[in-house]
Amino acid sequence: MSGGPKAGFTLGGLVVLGLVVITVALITYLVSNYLYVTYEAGKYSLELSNKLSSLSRSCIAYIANNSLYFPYSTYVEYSIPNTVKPGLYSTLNLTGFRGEVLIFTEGCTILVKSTGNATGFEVIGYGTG
Amino acid sequence: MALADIVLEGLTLILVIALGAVLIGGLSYLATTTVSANNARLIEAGTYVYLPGPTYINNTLYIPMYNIGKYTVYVKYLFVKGVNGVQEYTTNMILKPGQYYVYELSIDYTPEAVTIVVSPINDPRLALEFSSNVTTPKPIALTPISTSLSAQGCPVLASVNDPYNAGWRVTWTMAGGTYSISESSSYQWCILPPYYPITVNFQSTITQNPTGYQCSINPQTTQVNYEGKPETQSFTVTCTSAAYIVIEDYYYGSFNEYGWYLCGDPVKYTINYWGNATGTLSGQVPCIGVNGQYNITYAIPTNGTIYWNLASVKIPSGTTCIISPTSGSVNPGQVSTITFSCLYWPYNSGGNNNGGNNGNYYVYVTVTGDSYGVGWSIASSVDTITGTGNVNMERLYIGGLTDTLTASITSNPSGYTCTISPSSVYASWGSDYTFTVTCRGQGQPPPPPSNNYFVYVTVKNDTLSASWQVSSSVKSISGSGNVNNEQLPIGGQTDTLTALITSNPSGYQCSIRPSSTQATDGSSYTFTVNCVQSGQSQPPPPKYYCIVTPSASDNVNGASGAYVSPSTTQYIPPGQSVIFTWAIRNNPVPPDYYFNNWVVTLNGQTVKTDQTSSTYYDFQCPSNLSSNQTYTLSGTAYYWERYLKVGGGNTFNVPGNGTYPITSQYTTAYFYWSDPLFISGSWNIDYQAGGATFTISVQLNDAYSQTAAATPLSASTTLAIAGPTGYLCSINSISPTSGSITSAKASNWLPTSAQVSVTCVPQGKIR
Repeated sequence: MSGGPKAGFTLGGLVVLGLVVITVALITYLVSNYLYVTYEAGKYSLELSNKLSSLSRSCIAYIANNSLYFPYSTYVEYSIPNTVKPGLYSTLNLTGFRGEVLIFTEGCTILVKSTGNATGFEVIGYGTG
Repeated sequence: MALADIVLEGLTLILVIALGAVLIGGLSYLATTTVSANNARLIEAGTYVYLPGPTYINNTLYIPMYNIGKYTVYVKYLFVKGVNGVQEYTTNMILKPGQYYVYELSIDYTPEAVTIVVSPINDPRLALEFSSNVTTPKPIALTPISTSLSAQGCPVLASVNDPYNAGWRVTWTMAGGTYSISESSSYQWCILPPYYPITVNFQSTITQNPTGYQCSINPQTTQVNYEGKPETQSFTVTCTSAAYIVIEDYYYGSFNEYGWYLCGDPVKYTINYWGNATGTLSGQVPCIGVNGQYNITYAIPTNGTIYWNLASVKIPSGTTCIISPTSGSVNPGQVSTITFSCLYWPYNSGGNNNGGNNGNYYVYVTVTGDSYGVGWSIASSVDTITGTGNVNMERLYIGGLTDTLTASITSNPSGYTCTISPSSVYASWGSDYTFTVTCRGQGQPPPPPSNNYFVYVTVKNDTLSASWQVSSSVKSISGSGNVNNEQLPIGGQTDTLTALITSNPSGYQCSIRPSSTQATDGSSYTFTVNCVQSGQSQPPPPKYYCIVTPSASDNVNGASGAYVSPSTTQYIPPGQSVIFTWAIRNNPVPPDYYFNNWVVTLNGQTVKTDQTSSTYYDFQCPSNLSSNQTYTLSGTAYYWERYLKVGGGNTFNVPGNGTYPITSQYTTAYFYWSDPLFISGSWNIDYQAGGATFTISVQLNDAYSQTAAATPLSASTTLAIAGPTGYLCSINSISPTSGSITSAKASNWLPTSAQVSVTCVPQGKIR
C-alpha cells in the first residue's frame, strides 16, 4: 500500500532527538555538579573540623620540672624572642628562658615567664585561639 | 503530498527547533549560574584562616594567622574591636594553604576581639570573615597540673594525702615520657594520657621528713591502666615519731709530697639499738675534702627511749680515728650524735694499728703529779704503758669497746712511797683517762722534778759510725751512725745542748759540730760528724759561719699555719749545707682560698717556686768565708681565691648579616677566674642553627677537683643575638665550637677564636 507512513528517521525526529540528548546532558551535568560540590564541601568541612579539633587539643599543656609538656604534642611556629626552634614538641625545656617568652603554636599562643630564679617558670597567659 | 502538508510540517519543525533552542538555552544558563554558585560554595567551604590566640602584651597586639583551608587567600583588612569601637587596618597580605604568620600591631588601647576579612585568590568576589577574642595575659594556671582541677572529666586523677606535710615526690611514666611532681602537702593533679589504652607507671618517695618524724608514702610503686574511662590513683603519707642518730664525719685525707690530696678507704661501723625499738644500723664514714663536713642521719621510728652502742668499727690501714661517744640513749624527737674524727696518714708505716691487738679500740691516758720520776704502769687487757714522769694523752689500746684499766707503781724514788690513782677504771673506747701520782716522803727532799720539754736531734754525716753523745741538762742520747729527729728531753723551755764524740772508728779521728748550741723546746737541731784519717790533722774549727734565719709566712694573714723546719737561726760552717723545709697546715682557708704555690727567697731574691704543699731548700754555705755571712731565708705560701664567674650582659649585638668573632666588640659578657693548682681548661659553645641564642661554657680542672677535694669549676652564659631595630637575627653557624684554656687566671676572657655567622630578617616577615 502506498501513501502510508514511511519507515526511518525524519528530519524533525532527528532534531527532537538531538534536543532531548542535549537537555538530558545538561540536567545530568547540573545534578552531578551539585552532588560533587556538596560532597567536596562536606569533606572540607569535616577536614576543617578535625583540624580545629586537633589544634585545640594540641594546646593542652602543663608545666612541671621546668618544662612545658604537651600530651598531644604541638607544633611551635614562632616565638618572641626567638628562642624556640620551629618544630613539633611534646616537651619544651624552659631552661635558658629569661623573662617573658611568647610561644606561637599552631593552635594557640602561650606566654611563659621566668619567676625570678633560674629554675622557676609560670605560664601567665594562654590564648586558645 | 499537498502543499499545505508540506507547509504544516515545516512550521512544526521550526516550532520544535525554536522550543528546543529555548529549552537548551535556558538549561545552559541555569547550568552556568549553578556551577558558578557551586564553585563559590566549594571555595567558601574550603577557606579557613584560624586565629590561634591573638595576644595583647606590652602595647603590642600579636595576631597569629594560620591558613588551614585549601586555598590561597588574600587578607584584606583587619578590624580590632576595643572599648572605643572598631578600628580598621589594611593588611594586604597573602597566606598560602598551611602558612602561618604573626601580624604585629602596636596599639595603645586594650583590644577585645579581632576580625580579619579574607578573599580566596581564585574567587576575589568572595569575602569571608574570621574572628577571635584577644587574650590579655594574666596569671592563669595551665591544666592539668592544678589543685583547682575538678576530678570530673580528668582521665587519670592522682592525689597524695599528706597530713604531716612531709616532702614527697611522685614520678610517673607514660608513652616514653617521665614526669614528676614534688610537694610537701596534700595535693591533687590530673594526668592526660596521650592515647588509650595506655599504662601509667607511678613511683613515689619521701624527700623530706618533718622534724621528729619518720615518714613513708604508699604505694611506692603502682600503675594505672587507662582505657578511656576516668581513673584515680591515691597515695598516702604516714609518719611516726622518730629518734635520730647522727654520725658526724670529720674524716680527712692528707696531701702527699706532690700536693695531691689523698683519701683512705671508708670507716665501716655497726650500731645496735634496743629499748622501744630494736635494730642494727650499718654504714660507712667516707673520707671527705679538706675541712669539709658530712653527716649521716638515721631516723629510728620509736615512741619511747632507745639505747644504742657502737657494736663494731673497722678502721682501714693508714687511718687513725677518734670516735666518741660509743654508746648512749635518745628519745623521740631528739638527736644522738657520734663524731668520727679520722685522719688518713699513710706515710707512717703501719698506720695506727700496732701489733698485739686489733688496733681498733683505744683510750688516751694522762699521768699527772709525777714530779719525782716515779715508775708507773697502766695496763689494759691487751696493752701496757710504762713510764716515768708525767705523760699527756698517750694512746693505750684496749680489748674491745670497753675494758678495765689497771694502774700500778713500778719503782719508788729513794725515800718515797708513791701511789697512783685510780688503781682501776672501767674504760670506754675513745675516752680520756687521767691517773694521778702522789708520793709521801720520809724526811728527804724530793728528787728533782722531771718535765715535758723536748727537742729533736739529727746527727748526719756519720758514715763511719763514730760513737757520739748529745746531752741536755737532764738527759743524754748517744749512738753511732746517723739518726733523724731523735727526741731529747731538755730541762726547761730553753737549755744548752752539748755534743761530743765518745769513740772513733779505727784509724779515724772524728769531731761533731756544733759542739754546743742553745736549744728551744720543740725545735730541731742538727749535728754533723766529720772524720779524718789518723795522722791527718783535724781541721780547725771554722772562724766564720753562714748565719741563716729562716721564716715562713703566707698571703692569708697567717691562716695557712705555714711553718719552717728548722725554725731557728742556723750557724752553718763553710762548705756545709742545711735543708730547710716549709709546709702548710690548713688548706683551704676561709672563705675560699686554696694553696697555689710556695715562693722561697734568699735575702729577697727568689730561689725557688713550688706548687706542692711542702717544699724545701738546700742551703749551701760557701766554703771560702772571710767573715760571717747573714742570710734571711723566707718561704711564703701563696693562696689563691678559687672561682670561675661570668660577668657582663647576655646579648651578642650584631649590625646585620655577617660573621662576627666573639669579642668584647659585640658583647659585654666575659668570664673571669682564679684557679689555684690549675691543670687544664676547656670551653665549648652550644647552639642550634636557626636559633637566636648560643651558650658559652667554660670548665677548669685543677688538683683540687681531680682529687675530689673541691668541686670542678664551671660556668656558662647564654647570649641572645640582638640585631638592628626591627630585625630578627638567627644563627647560621658557629665555628669553632670548642677549645682549650691554658691560663690559671683570667679577668676578661671570651672565646675570641669563635666566629658567629648571623642572618637577620625584618620582624614580622612571612615565614
